[in-house]
Amino acid sequence: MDNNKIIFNVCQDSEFFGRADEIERICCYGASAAKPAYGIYLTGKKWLGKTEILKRVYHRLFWEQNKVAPIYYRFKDIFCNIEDFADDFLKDFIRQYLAFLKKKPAIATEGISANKLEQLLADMELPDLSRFLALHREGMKYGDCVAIFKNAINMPHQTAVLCNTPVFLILDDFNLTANICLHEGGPGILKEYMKTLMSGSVSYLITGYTKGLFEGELFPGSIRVMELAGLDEEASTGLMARMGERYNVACDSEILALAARQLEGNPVYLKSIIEAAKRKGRGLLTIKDFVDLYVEELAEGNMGFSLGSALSIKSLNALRILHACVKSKNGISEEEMVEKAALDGGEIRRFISRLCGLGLLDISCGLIKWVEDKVAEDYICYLYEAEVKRRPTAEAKTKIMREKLKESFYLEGVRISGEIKEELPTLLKMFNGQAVPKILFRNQDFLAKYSGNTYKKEDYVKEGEKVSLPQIIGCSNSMKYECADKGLTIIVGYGFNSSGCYNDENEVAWIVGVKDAPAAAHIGDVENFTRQCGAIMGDIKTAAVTRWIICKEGFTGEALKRLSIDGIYTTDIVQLRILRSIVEDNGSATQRHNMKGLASLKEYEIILPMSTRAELVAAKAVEEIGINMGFDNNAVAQIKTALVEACINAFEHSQVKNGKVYCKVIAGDDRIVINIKNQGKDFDPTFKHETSDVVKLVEPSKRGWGIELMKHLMDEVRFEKVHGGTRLVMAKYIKRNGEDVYERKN
Amino acid sequence: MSGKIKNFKELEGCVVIYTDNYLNDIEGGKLEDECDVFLNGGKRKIVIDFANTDLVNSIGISILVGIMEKVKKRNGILFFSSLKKVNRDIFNILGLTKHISIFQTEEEAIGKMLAHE
Repeated sequence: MDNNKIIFNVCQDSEFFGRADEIERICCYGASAAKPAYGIYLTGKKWLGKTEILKRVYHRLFWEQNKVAPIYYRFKDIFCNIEDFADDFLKDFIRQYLAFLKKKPAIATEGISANKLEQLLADMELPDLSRFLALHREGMKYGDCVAIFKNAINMPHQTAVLCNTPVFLILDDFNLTANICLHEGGPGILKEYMKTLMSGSVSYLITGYTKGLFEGELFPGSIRVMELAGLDEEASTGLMARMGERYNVACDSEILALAARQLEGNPVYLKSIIEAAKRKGRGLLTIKDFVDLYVEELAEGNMGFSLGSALSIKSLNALRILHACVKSKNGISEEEMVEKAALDGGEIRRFISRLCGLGLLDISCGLIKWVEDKVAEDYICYLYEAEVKRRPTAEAKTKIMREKLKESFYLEGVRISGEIKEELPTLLKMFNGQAVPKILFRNQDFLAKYSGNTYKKEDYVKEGEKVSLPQIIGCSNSMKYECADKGLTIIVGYGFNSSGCYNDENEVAWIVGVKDAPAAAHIGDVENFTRQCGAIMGDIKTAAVTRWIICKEGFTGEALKRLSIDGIYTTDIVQLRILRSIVEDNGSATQRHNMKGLASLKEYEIILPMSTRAELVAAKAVEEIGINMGFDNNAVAQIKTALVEACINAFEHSQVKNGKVYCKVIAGDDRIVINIKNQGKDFDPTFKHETSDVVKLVEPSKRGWGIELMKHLMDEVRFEKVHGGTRLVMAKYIKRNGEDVYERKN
Repeated sequence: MSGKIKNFKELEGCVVIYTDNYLNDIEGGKLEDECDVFLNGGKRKIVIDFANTDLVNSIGISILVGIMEKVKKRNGILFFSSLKKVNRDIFNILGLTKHISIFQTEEEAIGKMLAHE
């Protein structure tokens, strides 16, 4: 589509989510009549909505102010010579400038010819702009590429000076200037163009895919990078749910959240999945629904088609290089690449240079890294299976589908039952300061005491010696420590002692060797495990390390003896079941409580405009919800008061004119949870106010007691950093007769 | 002078002002203006009755603190009455209850006020 038509063609509001902050910031920058000391570089992966943001900025500046003329220009990958670019840029610029002065978009969009433009300029008494067209024609006549180029890129600055209306220049896909050359085979115009932008009087915004676009070309502070990430989960699911509703696609909110994570909040992918569901008459109700649609879209749908043309992979060798980089998470050196792709160094360098130019790869510290998104990664893997490995389409699709199902299952947080090594990370993460019988980590003692008897869960209470479990915060089962050939899988849990102090002294690691094979752990396993532990301990440098072997089928006598001497914990499948049961029952009251609370959730969403007493609408809604849930009158009043404070805070901190405040109320069996989010700067959750003396309250800053009030009125108040601001989350539990209140403050 | 004020009751020697359902910046501002009118008119004994008030926000409370100060400066007496439990609790949280007398009912407050020399 023509550049000037694109800019007036914005997508529907219902399909545009979560970019209010960026738009506001760019508009503030662009509407400033005096040129700021810096330009903006808006960068982000493909299809994150950069152009849509620019269109909305353009719209606002075009219609809502008269001081600065917004000019949008999108570089095209078809240009390779300066004449074509200059001709296109010059005409688009003049059309948009005149359209802005006259407030008539048609002047920009109707493709007015050069002759008519000159006529219009004369009518509007802007002869200075005609001069640029004349200079351009003269340059073309004599084939003077340098004059043509200079005339085009200096025009915004000259126009601002001569016509008294400054310009805000928006240059989309600026990275493509690297492909436009002044002379055949010469360097691209990027460097020269940047110099002109920086020295001129015009404020500007440029976009591109890679952060390293200007390496070595800029003065510090001359460009401010605005890195665009995917939409956050809330905005992504909101977008999909809204589209699903419109297209009658049945959606499950959990599956939408999963899709949002898999698609990294990329609006184009999110929309493609819903559109594909609509086309095929399917819903998004299970993981398989999503994965089916996703893989079909990648292989034969719009997503695959778009990725194919964007990635522009023209040979199997390019595909091999991309695949090698995708598979190597930490990057790959050129030497390794030569070996893998069976190509000579020169050829590899040529391919890599082209792929870097497309924004797919990046070279940093000698390592070539894949820099595109996960969806493009899956596309490369699919293409590799189909084209390089020559697998039939159905087989290649099935392979990707299998991988995605497993990954989605993991992402959804569903526990895969079966092997210990798969269950163990979940169990480790449930460790949270519980005291459990030491006998569960001493296989020899356990067998001596309970062999042939039944160990009842209640028995653990009577067991004397206890092990205080740490708080495990994360696990790794890196391939680096894998010794599967020897029958053990190593999993490392990282965390802190349960003292509540998060410092170096309290840092702990649990190194766990798991043997799922149907054979007892023998001395070879023990030696191998001890060796692996040595290597891991060298890597992690944590002072307190606990070593533990779990073997489904128990241990040989020799192994147990050695393990006991070395002080390594030993657990078989029976002990593990008991341990798990205790940890689940005893220690994770929080999780049980959460699960109970999550059993039957009802969600309500309220969007408040920033107007007087709008918070009462939310308060009224929460009153109804609270009464229905069984809260007593005073508790309902407390929730309402806390909510009112939260809304006022959100209004106060919103940076967006006419912004909105989003309230989500989640009603569970035992609690009400309220999320409040605005479009703006962060709350200050660290604010503390003395509340004991009224004298202090009458000091100049009378505001700011809201957070203190909320903390007193609700059972939980916390702040979560989210994309584009801070979300306040508050919870209050129902106190029923005869039921203890959940101990929250643990 | 007090023609603009609607929610009040003038008694011999004291005045009772009734607050709105929601005491925020706007309603708080009106209440402060009303108190100013009475203080400027020579009244020194004021009861603010919160029987109709379900919600008070922190801005409303900051205005009440301002009123407390003004009355004190004029050597007047200010009582609060008929506070809902949640509102009494938040006054307590923010330390207001240490500096003002609060009564269960308007009558109780008036009785105490009139007995006060």
